[in-house]
Amino acid sequence: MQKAWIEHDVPQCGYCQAGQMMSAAALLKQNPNPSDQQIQAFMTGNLCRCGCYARIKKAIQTAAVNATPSTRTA
Amino acid sequence: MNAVINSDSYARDLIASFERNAAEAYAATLKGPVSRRNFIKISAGVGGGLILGFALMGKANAQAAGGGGGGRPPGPPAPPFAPGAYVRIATDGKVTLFSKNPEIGQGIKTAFGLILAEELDANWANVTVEQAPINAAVYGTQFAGGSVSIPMNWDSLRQAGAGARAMLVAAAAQEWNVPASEITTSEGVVTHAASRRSMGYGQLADKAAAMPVPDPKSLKLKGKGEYKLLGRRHTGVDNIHIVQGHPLYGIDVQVPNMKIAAFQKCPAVGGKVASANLDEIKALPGRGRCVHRHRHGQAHRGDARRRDHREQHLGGVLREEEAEDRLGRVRGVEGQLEGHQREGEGARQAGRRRADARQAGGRRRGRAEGRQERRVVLHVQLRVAPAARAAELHRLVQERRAAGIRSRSGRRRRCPRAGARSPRRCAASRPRNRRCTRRAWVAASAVA
Repeated sequence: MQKAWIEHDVPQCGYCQAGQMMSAAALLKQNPNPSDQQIQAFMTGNLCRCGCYARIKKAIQTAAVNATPSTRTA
Repeated sequence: MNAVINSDSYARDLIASFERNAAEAYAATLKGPVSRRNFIKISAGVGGGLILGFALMGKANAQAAGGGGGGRPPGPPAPPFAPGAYVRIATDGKVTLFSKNPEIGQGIKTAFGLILAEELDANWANVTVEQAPINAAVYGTQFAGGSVSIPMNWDSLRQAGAGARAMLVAAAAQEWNVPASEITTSEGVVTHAASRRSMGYGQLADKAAAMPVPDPKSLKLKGKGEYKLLGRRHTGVDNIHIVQGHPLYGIDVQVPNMKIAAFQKCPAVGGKVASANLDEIKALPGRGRCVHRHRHGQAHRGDARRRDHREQHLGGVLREEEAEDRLGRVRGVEGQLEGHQREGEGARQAGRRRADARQAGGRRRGRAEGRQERRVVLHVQLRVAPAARAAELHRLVQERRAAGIRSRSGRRRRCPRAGARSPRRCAASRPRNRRCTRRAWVAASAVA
């Protein structure tokens, strides 16, 4: 997840990002291959005033694709 | 929009206004410590929107203050040219650059680092960018706002980077006994091509620090075609910290013996604390808890006792006598509006009857005038005004009624501008046809 965040240059001010990543990790644990709508629905509680939502979504998709069974629990 | 932002005159004007603002802030500091409120007030006059500034200086600088030469407004003395304030090179070659403006997610920490590193010819992979301390004597004004960080600091940052580079080159020239003009730099390495010698910045750091600081005007800065770092996309320098949850924010700051306070604010403007359950709180376990009642109606650390519903509507907790007084006046206005509502209701029904009759008659004869009115009391309830204002509100309501303008939820009369009886018939509201765009219709919604 952290690598995906760096790869996609997700944060701006970064204040929300710890929470974003934690929610994203929980999502992927629950659903290793979420659709766009599922990502949106799950992450809806984490607000980002800087508006990084598009990059957050991309990073989650990348992390989902790259997750191996061993990293999935992380 | 882009044309405006990129035009020189726009940037110049904005920068000039910020410099004036800094001068004012500086002048204010000479009179004494600048309270936060004063500073915000000074800043509000400037064209830019949000300004987060650090332009506070101690009285010590007053001695150093000059009048400013030429056309420059009197203000904080220009900081001396000191590349060392921006660039630190360790003997192992690690470069630390200092970004002087606050980083709030706009990316200036990364951008300033890149500008410095570009002219310094540093190896970006080896660079760490740190937040510079607040020191106006060294850094000048340090603030974020108006998108002027880069325009304001473009020249001085490039000079700082180039100055540090010049000192490294001078050190190498002395070391190798060759003219400085034959020496080139790249990626943190100084090279003398003719004799095939090179040294890293780290190796030259000590010697360079001893070199005299060059005259900034003598520095040759890079042209656009020579940029290696600028003009390309780079990852933000703090991203690696952000994704690891490092404590980067104000809320993370810890100082010795600090206390933590929670803040209970009066829900409405002008309210004052009438009581707070201080005894209950003091009885709670834990050390160092204290409760203060701020004069503007904010109770720290205590839950102001909830009054009854009516007073809540008047704006939070009020003193008894004030509460009664305001209740009376608000009720007066409410009563008036209730009267209008009944009247409106009656008129509406009359209008409906007339319209029905007309339709039954199969011909248009005359006009049906329907009125509907709803209470506008909501605004009175939400905004607590001093008692005297209730009378003013009443007067405003009367005025607007006379002028024939009503809010959307109030009585609809002829729009004074378009002349229509309703937004639906108003030519100005087409093609929307449902919502009037005329300000007159909605003007009265802002009653207070």
